[in-house]
Amino acid sequence: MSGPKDFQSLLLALQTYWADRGCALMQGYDLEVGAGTMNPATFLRVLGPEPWNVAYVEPSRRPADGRFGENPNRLHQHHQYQVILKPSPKDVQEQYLGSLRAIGITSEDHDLRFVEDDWESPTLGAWGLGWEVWCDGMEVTQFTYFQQAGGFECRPVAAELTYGLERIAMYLQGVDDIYDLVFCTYPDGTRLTYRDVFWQNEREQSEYSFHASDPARLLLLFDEYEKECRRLVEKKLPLPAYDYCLKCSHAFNLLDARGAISVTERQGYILRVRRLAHDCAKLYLATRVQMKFPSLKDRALAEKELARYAGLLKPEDAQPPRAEQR
Amino acid sequence: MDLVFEIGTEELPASFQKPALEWMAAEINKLLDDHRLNGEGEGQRASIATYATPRRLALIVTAIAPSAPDLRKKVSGPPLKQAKQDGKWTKAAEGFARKAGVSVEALKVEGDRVVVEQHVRGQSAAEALPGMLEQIVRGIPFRKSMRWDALEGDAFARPVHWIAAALDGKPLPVSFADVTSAPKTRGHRFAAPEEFPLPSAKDYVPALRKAHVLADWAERSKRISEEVARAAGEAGGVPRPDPELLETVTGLVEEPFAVAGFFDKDFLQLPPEVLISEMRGHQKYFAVQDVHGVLLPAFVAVSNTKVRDPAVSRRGYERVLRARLSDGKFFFDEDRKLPLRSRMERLGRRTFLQGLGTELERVQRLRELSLWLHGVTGKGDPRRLAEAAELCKADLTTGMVGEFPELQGAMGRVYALNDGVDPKVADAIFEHYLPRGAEDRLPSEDTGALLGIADRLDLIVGLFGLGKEPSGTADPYGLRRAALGILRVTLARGYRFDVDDALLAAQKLHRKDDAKARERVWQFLLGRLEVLLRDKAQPDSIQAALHTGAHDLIALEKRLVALQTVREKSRAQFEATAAAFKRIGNILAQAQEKGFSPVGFEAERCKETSERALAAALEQSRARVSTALEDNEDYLAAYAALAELRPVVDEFFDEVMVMDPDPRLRDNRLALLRSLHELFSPLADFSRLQVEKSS
Repeated sequence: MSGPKDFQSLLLALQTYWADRGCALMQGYDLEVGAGTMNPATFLRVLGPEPWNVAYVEPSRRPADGRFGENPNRLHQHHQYQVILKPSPKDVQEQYLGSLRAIGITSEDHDLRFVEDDWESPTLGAWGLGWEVWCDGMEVTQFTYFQQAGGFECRPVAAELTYGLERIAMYLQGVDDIYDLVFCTYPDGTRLTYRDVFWQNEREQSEYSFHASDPARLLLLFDEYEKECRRLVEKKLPLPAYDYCLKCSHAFNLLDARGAISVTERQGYILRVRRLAHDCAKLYLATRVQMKFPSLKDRALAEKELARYAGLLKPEDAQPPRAEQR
Repeated sequence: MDLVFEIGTEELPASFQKPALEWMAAEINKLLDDHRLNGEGEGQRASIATYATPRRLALIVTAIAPSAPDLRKKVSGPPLKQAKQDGKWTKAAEGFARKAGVSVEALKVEGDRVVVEQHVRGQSAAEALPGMLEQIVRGIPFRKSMRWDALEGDAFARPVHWIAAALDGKPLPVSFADVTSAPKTRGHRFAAPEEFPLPSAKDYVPALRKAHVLADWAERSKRISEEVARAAGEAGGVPRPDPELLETVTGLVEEPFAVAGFFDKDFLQLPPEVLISEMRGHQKYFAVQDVHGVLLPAFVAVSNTKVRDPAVSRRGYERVLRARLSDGKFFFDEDRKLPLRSRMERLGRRTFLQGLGTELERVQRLRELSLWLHGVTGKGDPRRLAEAAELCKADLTTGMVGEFPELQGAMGRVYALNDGVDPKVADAIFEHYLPRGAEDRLPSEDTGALLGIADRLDLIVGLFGLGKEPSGTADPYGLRRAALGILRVTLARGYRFDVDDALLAAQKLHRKDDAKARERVWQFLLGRLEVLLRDKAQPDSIQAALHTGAHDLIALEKRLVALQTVREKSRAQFEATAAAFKRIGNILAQAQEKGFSPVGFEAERCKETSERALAAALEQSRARVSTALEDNEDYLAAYAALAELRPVVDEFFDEVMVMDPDPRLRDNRLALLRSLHELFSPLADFSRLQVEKSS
């Protein structure tokens, strides 16, 4: 197989490929997120009519998936390669297959398949339709046409490509244990492995998520983050508010991993995060409307779109969320 | 004329393809009818064929009429009074003529109205089809549809890339979303991606085959079966038959190539259910077994492309499965560390359903209810029942069932055996879920059967108690299936119990006693029973037999069988008897409406001979009929007695006026009829039978 030889070459190959197709190369978000979708560069930017083409690596934390560095396939923190193409181009499947070719996965050598998969995030109030893309039976990418985010229709529709980097790298390098992945090679020929880079983190984070976290404090933090998010929504600051929504989500994930939330309560917490996400999304859209969708070049279209979202600026809608909405 | 119509898409979900085709075929048939284009000759119909692959939905319709025949249509206009005054056409008449596209001279008078005969030109197929096809693209009812790009309005299961439509080779214009039709199609995504001219109806399938697409579902499915069998043979076995998986895989490929792979023999320690679920569920691999049905450490994957070196993709398939089986092994090892018995505490932390308590409370109810069923039926072993009930949901807390919900019960049995539980109890843990669907088998022993009935009664009674009854097509908790399970198991195993008592017992465990809710559940069960018995008798027989007041399912079934037997054996005689009983029922109903209250029948108040004769005959057969109905459940004997009574009944009606002006005579006769009616009422509710009136 003539693919990238190590983990970071894989990232570089994807970065180069998507940069060549006009994507802005961004960075993973500097807060804990469970997936690249939660990065505001996806969740907020898929809203409204403004075009947005972007690609970035997202370190994604899933506390419940931690395995103390002992499981060859599961990680507390894995890396997603996230691409957003908005509006979704007509040839998005071909562009995507081109990216696989760029990392050495070709249809001549592999069984590539688009298998139905409906994506939904209950905490984000987001859903879309698409596929999991299979390479020889292995899911390598989640391919989604975003239909809704934060409870709002996505117009135009954005295509989201989420590559599971560790999995792809394991396949390309032919290793069965994640920790045996070669991350890069030093000038003296020493191979830096995934174990060298992440193993201690996996162990400690798992220890923290499953044993050392303090559920009482996390519950308190969840409540505080929620309050802060609401306060910032009232201050009409959607981006800072969304940061606290993300913090709520992460606190919830930690509580969930610790088994501190009963099945009955679970739904309630998910709903609380979803309401925050909805309020942030709504406020973000409203601020873009106020700025008259500045990155939309077609001003006639912008006027039409502003009319569509006019309702968002009505005084009753701009009211801060009230306690009874909870 | 022949139509070729193809919608080219991004990969459609496998389960969407066939339903879409069925709808498209029915719709084009209906539209051709509406446009009078269905068929080239008198009494002929066009023939419709449908094709689907992950990337296309196609209709081929041959022998469409080139054009619809012209029609003469009469259109009526204003009343004559307004249309003609003083022998001249008025403004109203002129307006009508203008609208109809004729001159006033063409107007005719029919009765008191003005009419005009119009000549309606029949549309040609080429004119009518584009609109019909657009209606079809827009109308296909997918379970889920999506929008894409910046398009407004139009939605489809996945983005549409091309539409090809031609009638006898001439392109038809069809537009949808941002696609305008062109008479071109494409082959396999990887093997023949280039556009090529849309083939004719006759050449469609062969031309696509050349382009590496097997468009015909049956052909593709057959090819997959052959390929899988070949690959399984190379791996030293045969494929495990799996029609459902075959259907899914058929919707995932345009041209199939099977590749066999292997996994480590050590994984065969996992229960076969787990191995099969791992292979088919996520990976869509076929399991491979030996001639005795024992799983081999091998599988067959079906690829959509003929790759350069199958060894490369085989390694890929094997790697993924290895990771999954390792995960499965991990769950299996972890799960076995905690016996089912010790999982009770976890059940106490799991909500069963909002408002119905925890899983622990649920299994406590199931224990009581299945013991109650044991008490009334005398079936099953109470010790085993209690143990099976306590353990039957414990596997819900295992990692394996968390990963593969469809293994609930199956894993319960495996883990129970591992814990050293009585094998019959372990079997009951699995069997209480049976039947899982209309085609599934039933429990083989009483313990699983009674526990299964208890489980479903608890669910139905609990949810009806919360007002969460199924409505229309919405049945989110699967209550219809649960009801069918109760009925099938009860009838098949001949369990005798009063369903109303059972519902009360179930309600009490939910701390409720609500007669109205019980009645609603009973009517719901009866509705399902009607469906279940549909093949056994005609609908009115079912209605009549089920509404005889009994709450014992076996009795109801026996009554139906007897009714249908008698009805089929001597139809004319039965119809006459039934009609007489309907008549009695009607008279009694009228009497009740009028407020007549017949007191006890007294023989000395009889006036007419036939009256006395009926009373005597009734008394004579009463003991025999009661014994037949109440003690022996010999419904046929009761029907025989009924048939014997009929001449006397007929005579009674010939001679006697029931509604005599003398209230004493009237009430006495009503009392006689009521007594007769009541005696035979366990046989059937005759008022529900549709029979010819007796002359």
